[in-house]
This record gives sequence, structure tokens and C-alpha cells, in this order.
Amino acid sequence: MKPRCPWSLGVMLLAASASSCGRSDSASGYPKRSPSGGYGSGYGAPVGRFVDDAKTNTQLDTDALALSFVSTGGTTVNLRDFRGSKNVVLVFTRGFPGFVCPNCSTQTSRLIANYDEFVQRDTEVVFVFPGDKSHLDEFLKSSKPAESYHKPVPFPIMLDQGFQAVDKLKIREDLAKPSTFILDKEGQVRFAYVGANSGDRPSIKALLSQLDAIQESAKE
Amino acid sequence: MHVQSGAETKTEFFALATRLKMISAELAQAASIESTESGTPPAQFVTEQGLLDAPDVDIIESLLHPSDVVPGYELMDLLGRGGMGVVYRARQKNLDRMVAMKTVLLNRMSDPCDVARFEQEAIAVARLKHPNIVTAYDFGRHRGRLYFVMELVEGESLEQLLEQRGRPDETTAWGLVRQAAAGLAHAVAAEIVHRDVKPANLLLVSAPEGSPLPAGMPMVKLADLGVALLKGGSESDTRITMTGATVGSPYYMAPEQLDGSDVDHRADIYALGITAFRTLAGTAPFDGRTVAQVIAQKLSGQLASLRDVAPDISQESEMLVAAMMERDRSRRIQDYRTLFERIDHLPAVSRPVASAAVQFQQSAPVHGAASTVEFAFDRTAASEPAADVATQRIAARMPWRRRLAYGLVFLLLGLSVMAWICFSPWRGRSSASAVVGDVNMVPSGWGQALYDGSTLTVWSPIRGEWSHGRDAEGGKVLSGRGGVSRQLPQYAGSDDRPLRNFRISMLVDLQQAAAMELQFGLGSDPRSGMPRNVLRVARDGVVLGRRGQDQGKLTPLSDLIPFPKPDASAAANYHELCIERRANHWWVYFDDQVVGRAASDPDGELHEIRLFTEEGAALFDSIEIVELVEYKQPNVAKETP
Repeated sequence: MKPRCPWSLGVMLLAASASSCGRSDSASGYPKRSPSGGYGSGYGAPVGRFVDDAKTNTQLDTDALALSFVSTGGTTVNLRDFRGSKNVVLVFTRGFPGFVCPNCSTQTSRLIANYDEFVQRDTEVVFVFPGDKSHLDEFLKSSKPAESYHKPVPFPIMLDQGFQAVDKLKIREDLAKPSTFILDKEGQVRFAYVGANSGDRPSIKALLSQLDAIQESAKE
Repeated sequence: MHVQSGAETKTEFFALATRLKMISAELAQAASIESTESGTPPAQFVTEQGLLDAPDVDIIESLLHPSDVVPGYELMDLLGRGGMGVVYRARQKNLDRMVAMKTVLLNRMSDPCDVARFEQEAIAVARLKHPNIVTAYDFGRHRGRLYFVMELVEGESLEQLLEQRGRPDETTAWGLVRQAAAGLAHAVAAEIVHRDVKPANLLLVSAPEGSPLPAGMPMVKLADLGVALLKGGSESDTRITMTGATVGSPYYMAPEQLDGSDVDHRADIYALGITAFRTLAGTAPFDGRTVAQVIAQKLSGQLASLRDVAPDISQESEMLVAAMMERDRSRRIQDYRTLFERIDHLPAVSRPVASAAVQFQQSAPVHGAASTVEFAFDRTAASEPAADVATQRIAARMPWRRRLAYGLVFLLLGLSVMAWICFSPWRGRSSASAVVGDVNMVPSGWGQALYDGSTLTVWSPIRGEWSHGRDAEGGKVLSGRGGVSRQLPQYAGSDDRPLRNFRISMLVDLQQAAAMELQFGLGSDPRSGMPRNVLRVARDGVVLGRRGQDQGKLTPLSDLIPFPKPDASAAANYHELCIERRANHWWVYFDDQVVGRAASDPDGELHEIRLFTEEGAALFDSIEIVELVEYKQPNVAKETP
């Protein structure tokens, strides 16, 4: 488990003050570690990301996820299309803050590597790259595992060039807050996680646990 | 010169990569197609994709242009590669003879200023001429490479024979050691110390007809005499030890090499003693499983006794080996003349060769082909894993008092290190009272990913292997073993302002590594040894320190912070390393905890960090740099600078 930073629990705390991660600062008299830039810097302190025990941390109406996207192939994909057949893991990465955001590429490479696990759980991964798409190829190149660099990404990549979906979900910062949502086969929101900083994202383990729980509840 | 088309070169590039077993045929085919489609040259493509590292690519490029690497020579094939160099079979064109050529890329040498010294010493090595030394033919520098041209010896090494067939009989063992000593004695007369005597550097070939050697006795050729100089003296030998980059060497190095003292020929006598022990017993005189344990045993002088491990060996042999392996060099055998006399008076050596039960079989010599040497092996020893046997035997036969003594020695060593760290005069530099005046800083909004999951060319390996790896959840991360350097950006933002204050952070999972180091604030003057700050993360603790030069002794600048106990249930155990350069200081954090502070000289430091791992690979993720600017809180008086 990667170490977690106390402030990762609330972006407000981070944004409102120049507080730091340093646990021993005030007691020892050491200067505080410079605070993370959060989303704004695009490369917030990496601690706290890929959380195994991620729990829903935001309230969403089901209507908020009545979204449609244009895929990189030019086709329009509506999340409602999956109702009745598949769960959906909707992943918003941050976009392109001027360079490939390491947390984004690591998360994406993990989704690629574990895609079969999602398929086995009747789940489609819908991946959204907000903002200008001109850097998408560069981003995907950084995210593909070395041994499958010549293969296409197994799940659909959606564009949100005007940040319409990001704004509708209220996850806008300079780009997008890294956010993950799970919709079950009935289109109900079962999990909604908005990262407190660039590195605060649910781990694969956390997502699969959520999907397993959904499957279990469906059997009951 | 034959000019090849792009397609022809591309096909050959991937065919060669496959033949050299660098990548699979399937991957080569896919990469070839992808490279063609993207219009990217193969070398650039495989490097960017992390399929091959820079040294691999250099080998392929060299073999693709075999006459362009060193004038007058044509590379024929790859013979082997080590931590610093690559050995090729080559043809010397003007004499039409086959030679061995070792090449070392100059950018893989830590200190460019050492090159001139190496060249001078290499000339001295090239003057040596002795039947037990691989003859050096030529040496030079060409297009960013140092090259050594040597006699091509196509025999097996003593290391290979011991591994594959076990130990020879006592007489043969001393015959081999004596020949190696003869070569070393010749070298020391020219004031050259080998520094890396070990079974892997004793090549065995069939003795030429008419040789004075007993019938069937292989001839020893000492290898790497000149190339050992590339390791750059005692300090660098220690470097190799500390990083574990050369696994074999620390086992044979003399204690004075390990602690950075000046080295003379007695270090070679010590290493030859360990070699003799290994040859006679089939195993090394250590029961330590890690380099650190072996070093501790060496420094304490508590090595196993030869007859504890191999009771059939004579007492005289045991005493001679012990005299060669004496920890204190002033009490060690002092010169080769004494060594020859002692060897020649051993019962196993002084008795007539005809009755020594030495049995050799050798294949008929074939010109240009490897000659195979066989001798009488101890099949029992060969059938058992040497290290396990050694451990079991040592444990079983070591009296309890000695075991207790070993334990006490380790304990005392540990306490000494702790005491040194705790009471070091440097310790006070990280005291809290010294922080007054440091400026609070915040990110400016500019940053850069130092590892972006795609481009590996910006990471320059110093040694070992660095490539794209996968973490426990399949995420793409930097996987590394050995050492690597990364240039830092010098300017920030669209206005290209100088990047003076910044934070570098990364996640590290030690994985198999015993330790890793983040080196930063390296002095930019190579003549000074490039002193640098070191954040050392080891399983026995985390410490900020300073080294005067690459892998020199670490002077602690902080207390030792306990390394968190790994979470056994977790697939990965990441820790966050963070260094911040704020004006004239480096502030160092480990998992958000302040480790300490070191002085910074923004104008005299390289814009570079280096990562090292010891004894295995570690994973690195989210390596980022962020510009920091002074924090100006509205309506609040800032701290006095």
C-alpha cells in the first residue's frame, strides 16, 4: 500500500492553506514541507494515490451521469447504451497539463493491464481524456505497457474537449480532477470518487472490490 | 564500405537483437513493423519503447558497422559483457589475426578526468609479457569509447569449471594458484596491481607442447589485468562492493579495498587466497548470504577455516591459505617469493607429480577453436550446491564459542555503526535550531514528469539495467538495478526562467533491493570527485548523508530513521522520497517525515540526480519535479530571511 497523506482527504484543506504533509514539522521546529500544488500544479505529491480502501466521497444524482461522449473513432457513445448489459467504470483522467501526468499514465497502464478482470465482471471501462486531444497519442504512448505498445488500448477512449462532462460533474479544476464512477447494469451510481489531488485515485483492487460487491448484491 | 538501405539495416538490426537473445523473435517482428510504420529508426524506436537499453543498442549498432568502431579492426561477434564494458571477438586487419576487444563507453565512466590516468596505466599494462597473463596488444580511444585489444583466449574460466564440475584435487588446485601468482608477480614488478583477482579472471587453456607444466595441467591466463584499472582504484572498488553491481568481486576483495585504503600487491595475495580456498574447498570461506554480511565477516577477520569445509585438505594447505587471507595485510604473506616457497613446500605439491593422481583429459587442440580442459574433480562437491554445503558445514562444525563470537562481532559492528552515526560531528548540521531563516515555499505551477512512462533515453544508465517495469497492479513504472542518472531541467515556464528552487518527489518500492540511494546536489567539478548528498533508504534505516565521491564513505548528516516494517499483506510497499532545494539548502523527506537538511550550492551543482540500487531491482514511480517559489501570505509578515 502506498503511503497516504493526511491532507489527501480534503482538497479544501489543501487549497485553503499552505499546510504540508510533514507530520513532525511543528513539533520539531523544522520548516514545513512545501505544500503540494494539488491539481493546479498538475503534479501534486504522489502520496495518497491508488487507494485500496477508497469509498464513495461525493454525492451524485443518477441524472448527472446521463452523459454521452465522442470516441476517438468519431462515434458517439451514450452511457445509457450499457444499461441492461454491462456495468460501467467511468474514469476521468486529468487531461494534459503540459506534460504527461505520471499519475494519469500509471492509472491508465493499470487499467490496460487489468482489463480482463473488468471484462470478467461484465464491466466496460470508459476512459475520458478531457481537454485538447492533440496530446492524446503522446499520453497513450506513455501509458501502454511496454509489451503491448503496438496493440490498441482495449477499452474505448472518449473525448471531452470542451469540458462539458467535466463541468456537469463539477470536477473541473485547471483541467479535471481525477475521478472514477461506477454504474451498475441498471444505470445506478454505485461508486463515485473524486480525487483530492492528482495522485488520489482508487486502486484496481478497490474498483474490483466494488464490482464484486455489485455482483454479489445482484444475486441477492 | 558496403552501404545498406534503410530497410536492409532495419531487418538486420532486429535479426541481430534476436540472435543475441536481447528480445524474442515475436517481439522483434512486431517492433520491426511498428518501427517501419512510424518511420522511427530502429535504435530510437527500441530505446523509446524501453525494449532495449542504450548499451544493448550500442552492441547492435557496433556489430552492424563492425569496421567503424575501432580503426584497423573488424568486430566479428559478441563474447560477453560486464558492468562497464563489452568484449567482442574481432579481427585485426593488418595482421589478419583474431583478437579480443573490450570496449567501454566513456559516458559510462563516472569521472571523465580519470580517463587520462587509465590511459597511462594501460600503457604500462600493455608492456607486460608473461605466459600467465593475457597479452595486451593495443589500447586507445575512438569516438567516445575506450578500447583494449587483447590476446584471444578461448578457454573456460576457473569459475566456470568450479561451477560445472566441482573442485580439482589439491595438487592441481595449487598448480593453478601458483601460475596465477607467477603472473601477478610479473605485474607487481611493473608496479601494477590487478585489483580483481577471482576465479572468473583465471582463464584455463591447454598448455602448449613442451610446456614445463606437468602433463595435463591447464595453463592459467590472468585476464582483465588492464581492464581492472577502469575500476579506478580503491575507492571505486568499494563502489562496486557497495552497490553489488559486480556480484563476484566483493567476495574476493581484500579488507583494505573495502574500507577505501590504498591498495598494493598484498590485496592481490589476499584475493588469490580466497581463490585458493574456493578452488580447494569448492566453496568460498563465508557463510554470509549478502554482500553486507560477507563484508562484515571480512572486516572482522572471521573467515571459515579451510578444513572445516573440506576436511580432506592437508593441514599445511589450510595454514597457507589462512596466511594469504590474513585480514591485517602486515601479517599477510608479504611477497610472491615467499608465496612460491610456501606453495612449493606443501606436501601435495612437493611430492612427485606422477604420483599425485592428477588426471587430465584434453581434447585435441584445434586451431581457432576453444580448447576444453578437464581435470580430476571432486564429484561429491560438484553434486552439491556449494553455498549450501558451505553453510551447513560451517554451521555444523563451528564450535559454539565461535558462533557466539561471530554473533558478537556482528553486534559490535552494528553498534559501532550506530554509535558513529549518533555521535558523528556532522550530526548537528541537521539540528532544528539551524532552520531559522529557511523560506516557506509553494509550487509555482510549473513542473515536469522526470519519468513519463515512455522516454527512457533521458535516463542514462551508469551500470545495471533500467527499463519500463510493472508494479503490482500492472502499472508502468521505472524498474532499475544498478545506477542511473537523470538530467534535470535548467529552466522553467514559457519564459525560460532559471529553475533554482524545486521539489523532486518519487515513489520507491525496494522490491528485491537491499537498499537504494537518491544522490543529488552533485558537485560539478569532476576533479573534486563530485561530492554529493545522498538519501539512503535501506532496510535497516533511512539516512541523509554525504559522499566525497561516487560511492565513497557515507558521512551521515542526519539521524537514522527506522525503515517501516513492510506490510506483508500488501502487494507493493511504496515509500515517498522528496527532496526540496530551497535557496541554499536541500530539505529531505521520507514518507512525509523530515530526514534532514544539507547545504546547497545552486551555482556549483550539477542539474542531475542519480539513483542506485543494491543487490536487486527496485521500482520507481511518479518521479516529478516541481518549481517552488517563495510563499507570500497576504497581510502576514513573512519569516525573516
